[in-house]
Amino acid sequence: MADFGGFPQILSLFYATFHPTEGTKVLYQVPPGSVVKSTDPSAFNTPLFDFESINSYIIPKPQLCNKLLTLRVNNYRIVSHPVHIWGSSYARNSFLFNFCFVFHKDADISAYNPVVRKLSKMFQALEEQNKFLSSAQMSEGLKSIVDQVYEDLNNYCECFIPIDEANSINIKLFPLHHPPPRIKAFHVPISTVQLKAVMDVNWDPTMEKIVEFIDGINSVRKIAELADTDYKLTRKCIQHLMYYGCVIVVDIFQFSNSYACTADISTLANDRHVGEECQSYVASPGANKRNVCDLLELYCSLHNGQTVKEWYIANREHLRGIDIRRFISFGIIKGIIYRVNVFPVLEDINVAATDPLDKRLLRLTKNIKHFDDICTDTQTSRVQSLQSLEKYGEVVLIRA
Amino acid sequence: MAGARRKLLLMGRSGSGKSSMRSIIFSNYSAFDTRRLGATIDVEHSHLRFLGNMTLNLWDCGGQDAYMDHYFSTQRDNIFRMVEALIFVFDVESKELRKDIETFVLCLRNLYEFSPSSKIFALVHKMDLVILEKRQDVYRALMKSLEDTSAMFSFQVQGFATTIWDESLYKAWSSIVCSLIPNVALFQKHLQTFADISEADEVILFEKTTFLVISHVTNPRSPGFRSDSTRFEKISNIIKQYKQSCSKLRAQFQSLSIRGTDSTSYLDTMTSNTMIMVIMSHKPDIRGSSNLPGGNDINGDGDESLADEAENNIILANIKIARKMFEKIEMMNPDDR
Repeated sequence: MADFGGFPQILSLFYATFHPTEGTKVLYQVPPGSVVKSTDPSAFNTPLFDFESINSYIIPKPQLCNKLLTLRVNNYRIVSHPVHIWGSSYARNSFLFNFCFVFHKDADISAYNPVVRKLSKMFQALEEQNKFLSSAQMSEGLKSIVDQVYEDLNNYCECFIPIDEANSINIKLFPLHHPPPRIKAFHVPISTVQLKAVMDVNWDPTMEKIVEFIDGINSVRKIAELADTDYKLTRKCIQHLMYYGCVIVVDIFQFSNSYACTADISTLANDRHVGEECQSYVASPGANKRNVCDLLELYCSLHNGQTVKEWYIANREHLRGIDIRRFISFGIIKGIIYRVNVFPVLEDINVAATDPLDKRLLRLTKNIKHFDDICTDTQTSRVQSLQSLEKYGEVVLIRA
Repeated sequence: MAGARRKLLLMGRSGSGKSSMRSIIFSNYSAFDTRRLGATIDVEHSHLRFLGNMTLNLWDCGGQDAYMDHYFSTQRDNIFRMVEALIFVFDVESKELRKDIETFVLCLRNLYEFSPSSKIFALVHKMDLVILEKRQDVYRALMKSLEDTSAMFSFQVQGFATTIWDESLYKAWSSIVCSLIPNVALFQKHLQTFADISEADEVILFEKTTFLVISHVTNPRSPGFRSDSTRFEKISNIIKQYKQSCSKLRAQFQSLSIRGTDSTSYLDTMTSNTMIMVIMSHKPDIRGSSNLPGGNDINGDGDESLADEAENNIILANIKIARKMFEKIEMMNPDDR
């Protein structure tokens, strides 16, 4: 799981509305005195910021309403979702309100955006259904809801408040991750957590089937085959696991692959933790851990133009007690080596293709795909693919 | 060639009718349509091209307390700088007239500091809610206070009693906008010439979209029944509503001629920004037969309509010839005379 420092605290939660003669005003705030001066004995001495200076952004023009609005004032960040409801039953034909969350300006508020939006939309629905906000105005019920949302989200990161028979507030904070990149059939997922241990009966059936085949060796395509599941669903499951940081993807390991160092090779030398991690990860079962210097030297000896097989033969002595697959995997995962892909390019096509498999092969080649992709797609070996391609013209191999 | 840009401040308490007025005059709303307007949030800016060489920059300022506080504190110089005219709207039904007048004074104080040459207009609005007999008194009473306070800052306030339900709104806004037209005297002069040459009883020049009266000329020798002094704004109101009805039927209003018992009125496009109305009283027939009320044709078929057609053509021809001159006036640099 990616490092997660916890959700930021809500420093203040307030409810503001547009009064027909007074304009924007704060009807309720928690904690008391945090936004506007309050006579409550437990109130803040001075508010966190000058509300007057930003009140035009709390109830903004209609064009900015019904959208998530974030503004920064001094050391604070206010996340809100102002709502504008048109209706001839209201004075001046509209009802405008806003529930605002105040955080410290440096807080990571990404997890709160969906929450603020959801809360606003829910209150909008309540108002449209039975004038919950405009008739109550400042009923004790609304005050206690605001109090409870503030307390529960800060203490428990979730909140459940039944409002009436039909409506309830049900919010939970979730950390927001980056969307995962597209996964290809030839990618190999490696699990970073004990998947079987975290799994329970509520998991997706496809997920349950594929978990046992995620071993760092099988490609996505192979997993789907072995687990007898639909390829697209399998791919989606792997993507989900990637999103939550449970797996990472690498290329298929083959002895015919080539690898070379990247500019980040220095991290192995400079970062002690990476070095130690490497030592434990690449050691074969029962073998002694190798020196970080030796490992570094071995990584540097990898280069474009030499397959793993050739490299292994050349360095056999030095590679005793090292699991080659894990050695390569570690390098890829940490970004200290990269995979050199081979792209076949057909100069001219001399003969028209007749075989459907060949046609597919040619199409893939035309789209500039590397051998892993081609082989996984056509389910042939590299040698076979190359032979098939050579029937149609001269093939140039580009390594990159 | 830069056009003249005129900043107009439209201020007044919340709900006094500022946005309603603005939408009727400048956005083709009917008085009834204004019901569905919402409260103005902060300041609504409208840029309105008026004639060829003038842009009206109308600042419709929301009247809620929270906004007023801003206008007189943090936003003072933004609001009150470079103002050509202040239009302050008083709601005749206001329960806090004293407070409204205080706000008016605050505006004057700030204008004195930032735009001392600004014109001041006060609209005593929603007059339809006051019974007919009391209207003069209500208006005069308020205007007395306003005149006194304006004098304190060496401003001269011009007042109007208005309501969206009759033509009084058009009179007020015509006066306001005309006071800002840079070369309005030139329009007047050439309109007079046109009227003299056409031998018209009355000629009125309207702005095309808003139908506000820009200028009018009346022949002093015209018959006495033209004594309704509110006739100009009434025409604005009536024609504008007629135009709106036409557009509802997907027809574009172009011109109009109305033949009455004693006179005929012609309304046609003058320039791309103006329309002209020419009122000709009926002259005695050239051949000597009398012009009977009801327009009876004494001399036989066709003469009556021939005379009409002739007059119609003459008027149109005159307008066409005058057009170039009026276009030139419109495009003139505001600083030219």
